[in-house]
Amino acid sequence: MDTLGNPSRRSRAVLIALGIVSGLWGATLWAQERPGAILSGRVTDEASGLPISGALVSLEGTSAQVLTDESGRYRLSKVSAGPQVLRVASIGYAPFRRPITIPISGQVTLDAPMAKSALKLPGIVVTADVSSRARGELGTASVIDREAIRNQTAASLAGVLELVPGTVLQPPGLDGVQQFSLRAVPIRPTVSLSSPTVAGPTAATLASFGTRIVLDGVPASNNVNLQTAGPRGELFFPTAAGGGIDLRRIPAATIERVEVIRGIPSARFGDLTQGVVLVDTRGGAVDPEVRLRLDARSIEATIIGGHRLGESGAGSAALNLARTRTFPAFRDNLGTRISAQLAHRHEGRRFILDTRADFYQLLEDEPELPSSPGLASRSRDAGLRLSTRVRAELGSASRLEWTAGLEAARQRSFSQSPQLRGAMPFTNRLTEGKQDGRFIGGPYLARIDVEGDPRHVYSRLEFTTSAQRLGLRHDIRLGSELTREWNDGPGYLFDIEFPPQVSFNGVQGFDRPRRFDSIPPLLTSALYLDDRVSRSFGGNWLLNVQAGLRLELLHEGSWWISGIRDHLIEPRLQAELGPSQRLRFRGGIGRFGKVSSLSDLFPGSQYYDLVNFNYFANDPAERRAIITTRILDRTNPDLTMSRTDKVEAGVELDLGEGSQVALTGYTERVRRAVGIDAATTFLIRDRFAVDSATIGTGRPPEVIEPPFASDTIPTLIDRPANNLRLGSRGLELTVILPEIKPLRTRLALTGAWSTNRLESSSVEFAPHFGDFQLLETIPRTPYWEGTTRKGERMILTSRLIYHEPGAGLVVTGTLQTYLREIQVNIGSTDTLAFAGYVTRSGELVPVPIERRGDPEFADLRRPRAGLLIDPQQGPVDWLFSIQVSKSLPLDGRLSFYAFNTFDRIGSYGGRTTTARLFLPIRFGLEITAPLGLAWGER
Amino acid sequence: MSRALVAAVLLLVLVRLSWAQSSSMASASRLPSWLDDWSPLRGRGDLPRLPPDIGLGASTLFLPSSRIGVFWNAGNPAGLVDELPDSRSDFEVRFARRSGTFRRPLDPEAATLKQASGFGWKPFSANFALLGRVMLDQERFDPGTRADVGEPYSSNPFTTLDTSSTATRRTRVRIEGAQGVRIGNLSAGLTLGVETFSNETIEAGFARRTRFTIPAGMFGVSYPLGSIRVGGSFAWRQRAETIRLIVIAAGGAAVQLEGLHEVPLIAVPTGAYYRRIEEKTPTAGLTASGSFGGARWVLYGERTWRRDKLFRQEQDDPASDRWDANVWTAGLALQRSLGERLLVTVQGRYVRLTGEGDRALDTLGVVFRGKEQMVTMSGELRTVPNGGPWGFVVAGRIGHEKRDHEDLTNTLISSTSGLTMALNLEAARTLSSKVAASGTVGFGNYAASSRYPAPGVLGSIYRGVILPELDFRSRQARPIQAALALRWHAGAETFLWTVLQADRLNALGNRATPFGPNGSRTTLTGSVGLTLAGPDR
Repeated sequence: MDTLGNPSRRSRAVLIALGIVSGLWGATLWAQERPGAILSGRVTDEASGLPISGALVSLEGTSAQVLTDESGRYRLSKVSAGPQVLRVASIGYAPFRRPITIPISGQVTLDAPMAKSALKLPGIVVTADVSSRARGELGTASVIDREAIRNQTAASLAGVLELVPGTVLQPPGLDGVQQFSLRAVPIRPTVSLSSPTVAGPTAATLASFGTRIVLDGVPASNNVNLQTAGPRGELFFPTAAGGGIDLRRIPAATIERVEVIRGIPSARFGDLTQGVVLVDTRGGAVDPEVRLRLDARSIEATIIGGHRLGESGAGSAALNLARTRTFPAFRDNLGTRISAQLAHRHEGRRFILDTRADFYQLLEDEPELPSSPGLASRSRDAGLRLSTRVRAELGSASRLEWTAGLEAARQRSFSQSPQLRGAMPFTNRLTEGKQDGRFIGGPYLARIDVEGDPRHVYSRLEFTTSAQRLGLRHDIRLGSELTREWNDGPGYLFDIEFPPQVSFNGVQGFDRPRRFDSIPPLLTSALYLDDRVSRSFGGNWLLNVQAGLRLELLHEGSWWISGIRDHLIEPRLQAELGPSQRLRFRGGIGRFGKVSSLSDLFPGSQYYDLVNFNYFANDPAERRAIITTRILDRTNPDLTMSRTDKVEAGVELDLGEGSQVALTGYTERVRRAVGIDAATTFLIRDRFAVDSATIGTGRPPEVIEPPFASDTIPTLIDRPANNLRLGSRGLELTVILPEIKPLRTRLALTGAWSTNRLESSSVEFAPHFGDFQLLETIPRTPYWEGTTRKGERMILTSRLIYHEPGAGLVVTGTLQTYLREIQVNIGSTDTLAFAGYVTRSGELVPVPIERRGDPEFADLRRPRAGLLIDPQQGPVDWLFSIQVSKSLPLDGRLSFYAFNTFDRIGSYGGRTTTARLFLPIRFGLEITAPLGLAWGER
Repeated sequence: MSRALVAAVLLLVLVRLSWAQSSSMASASRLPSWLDDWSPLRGRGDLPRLPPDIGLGASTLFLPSSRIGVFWNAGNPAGLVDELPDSRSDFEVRFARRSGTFRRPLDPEAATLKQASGFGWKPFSANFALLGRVMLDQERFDPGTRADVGEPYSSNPFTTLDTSSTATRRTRVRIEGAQGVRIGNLSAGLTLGVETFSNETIEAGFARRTRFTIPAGMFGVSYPLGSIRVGGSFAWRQRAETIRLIVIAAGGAAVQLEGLHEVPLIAVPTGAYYRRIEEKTPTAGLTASGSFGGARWVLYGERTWRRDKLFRQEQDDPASDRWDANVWTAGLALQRSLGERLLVTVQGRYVRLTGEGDRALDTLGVVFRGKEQMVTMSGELRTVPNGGPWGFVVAGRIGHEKRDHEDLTNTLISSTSGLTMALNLEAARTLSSKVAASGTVGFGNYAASSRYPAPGVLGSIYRGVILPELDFRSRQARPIQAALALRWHAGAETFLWTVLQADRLNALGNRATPFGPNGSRTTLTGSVGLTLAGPDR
């Protein structure tokens, strides 16, 4: 492992970390503690004006909370200065949530009128919050609260995340695999489509793989999802393998809150490259309700409810059923989801125990139709996830929390397709060696079944304490994580005679059936330490600093004690400086590690069937072929975690009355990301002579041993390697303008400019590499350096929100404008662009650029095929969607949505070179009916 | 003099007309026209050719009394603050089935409808009022229609159809609302609406996927000048309709009608056929309203410019067929109480459309001209609730429409002129303190004269698609309707109700040619609903 063997790098990381921590402590020396402000107010029923007692008043992201008294009054003291979010919750009322700027000292009053329907509350927030933070975090975040989620008309978490700047709008439904690619432009590492090199992951896939999704405190992982048809497979089925989890499994209707840490997550979070999405599902004493969503393609029903269980407990249950016809009138594909959750909370005197059970099943079915016999595919993912969290109070200032999760999934995919192949010799050998083959050919029905059973065990133990050091208050977290992931599935299954691969010639290598339960597990562990200091100084100035260190370990063997394969020390530092109550500057820097997927750490072997002798006579009885099977291991023992360095800076301005501006700039570099390296080697093939006396006798020829000759066949092994670098830079802007009161309208803008640069250090080969392999007369063939591809995208999303609290009416018009979108390959395609050549023994021989014009390299000078270097630029265009939500009698809600309301078809415009084709319109209704009130429970 | 004029109008024209609606069953509302006329989604700039019907609503005694005003009649939202005296919410679920042989070639043979809708309004203060409606429905045509477009019998002659008649599923959502504010003497308002529609064949070898979306809005102002309130409005409506024909297991063909002449079949052997229609329809209008001699009156006029572009390429600036229509609309409404118990309402509307069609791929210029006009007048005499057990409505309608179409490619003309007369009688009675019942019967007669090319003059497209519709329009027909409604007063301001309605259209006399339809067509409708707030009884 190069990181273990590179003391200078390790020392540098430790020094950086120590510097950060000492800097943090040093910074606190010159800061001066000030008392916090007092926040008070009265909680009342919006309709009657009567006080509401026993309402829980809290400040988001802090431990500050209090219950209202008999007159509905509350009082929170020592409230930290700066932007805060007040939240009030009471049974029978919609949650009240209001951003407020707190001064360094003094008293602030904020009354909270509560309504049974949130639509009747003034100041409703239906966008991601600019100023809020994820709990316990200082990094740039988009916080999406329940009301914004309800207004979003989303089918899954992916739809909710469209409120994050730069996210492309999609119609609500279960169409296709849904993954979240934070700050990524969808570019591929190579576009040499005619090259034999297997393409690696796209920037978007890398980004979704590196975005941590945390469900109710337990990370959801896709590291051991092996549901692919193989790198050279020619059959396809829907799969999330290689990227992040399929977000369709998380229904939006059961989400309470989402926090997207786009910037620098604290040391608490690891195994990521991009950011963290924290999802809280609904639980506790949830008012029972039924929600039904209908559109021309989809139907979705949700029932959810909770109840207090005695004095110290609460339980809730949720069931969600959804179905989408993905290609109506064409192939009648169906995507269906069943999702169910059970949640229980027990509140003891000194501890709180949360337990959750979460079941999901996603089915994507493309049935065989009479019109296209043989063509069908299906993917069924089902999983059960159990999690528990115990929070024990250790005195007044300390807390111990243990979080554990166990997830067992069952993934079944199959695909079949009619194929046609020419006559060829065939062997079904699974071990190395030589044997007689037989001849096959003609049409056949290729079918592949991939059956994986991913397992995920997770445990985190965290100690939190608040302490006074050097006259300052420190919130310290110390924790450890253990993760074990493996796949117990029967594996990659197909009839060898009818492989899912038809264009193979015996020397390109292909897959054979493979069991997944024989693959070693993926083991990680981590230790982290995190400290946060918040202080005011110099009058109105306010400083928040959060610094931490995380040690991430990738283990080898079956258990954590078996050894360490790779490690990374990850320092994180974030600071927030507020010169005034309404202005904040933020900055952060951090390093992150991401383990490779199980399929990259332990790839299946590559099989080569070399034909030593091939006699294809007219008389089938006289035919004979001898085939030698060779197996090459694709495992890369040097594969390490990828490393990401992130830096960001930003400014936030609170203009009052809910009006805010936030600008964030970032630069991120993911190094050593895993792609596919086409490693060159060679195989030796024996050639046999035969006794020709058998010709015409009805018997196959006799082979004369030993072989009369041997030749070398250059081959490529698709080996996972840390050969990708992904660089990202960008700006994110959020502007929420003041409400135009006479029109009851507010405008919110989110914009994102992002650029990606995806570089591959692997080499690429010519399209005719297959000829080179088989024809001994070709002594060498050129290769080219890996492609670098740049992508750039600028998206502005404007939301015009009309809110009439008296009518309980919210109308949201969303305009997404694509201001710029460009993709370009950096490289040369001329005859001198080749980097060298590969010999028949598989050796790569570089040719210096000054010698590439020499006569001896004339056979290598050919234009590089398949690489487009002209920029591919999309036109400026826009898409509009509308949502209307109206409160109904009995505290229900009726929502209407129309995605792509104007049915824009996109354009080929002006100087642009690519079309922009928008998604079709999608329109429908959503009805929410609270059951508790209808049954007269209140 | 003026009183005499008003009286003469009252006596001469007891009529009322529903605005032209889509020929889809989903759009055929049982509501009276004033509950639809305000809609920004209303098809201004078009006079679709609808089958004859009564057009006077049914079970209207369980609805508020007929209203007139610049909002209710002309759609100018500036009138909303003045014309919403009460609050009301209605929720309805409707099921309907239509079948029969007396239909046009592009009507579905049989259709079933499921529809859910909500409609409500509320004045929040003397200066601010809101109104909104939402509707979701799904229709199944089995066997389906050959029409590719949502409204195959519009004034626009460029209609696409294909050879597929397999079952079709049509889903539609419509939402619209209006807001009115008063600032001093000035009233202003805005209506916005969107309707989206998706139409897909079910398990077809030759599949059709059609969709359209119509966003629309109107802005209006009004201001008092003496005793008259004058106003102006500007409306915008646009439509994007996309048609895709996809070959899966069987080939098919599309037909692009361009008027009356024969057109070639467009084979769709592989791949897909694509057709897109983009409509832009601005409308400018003037309104005036006031009171005179104890009657309230409304006058309005509109000028509409409809511009349709139809193209077959999925890219910018393709060559497009064009349909340009200019429409003038003028209307009036009067309402007066006759004593304490009776209310009389009279409405009239005149619409005149001239349009020209131009093909993209030739240099002939205009290839089709259409001149269409429609005048309709309706009247209603009804009791207003006063606590008595009985209520009744007598309503009548006279409508005349004339359509002259000139196909310039082959110098072909068609001219149809039709007169519809209809009478509705409705009576309602309270059966107990909580239950009331209503019954409606309606009769009508449609008579027409027409001129169009003989069957032998043209080819199979004319005889199979165009001629039967011209025959249908030339045929005497008799629409009848009957409805029964029951209402239960469930709470202080809560009413549950159900309506059963049957409509039938019978062909009378002989067919003009053997290609015309014959027989009858029946629509059965059942509705259940919930009304919140106090309705008129």
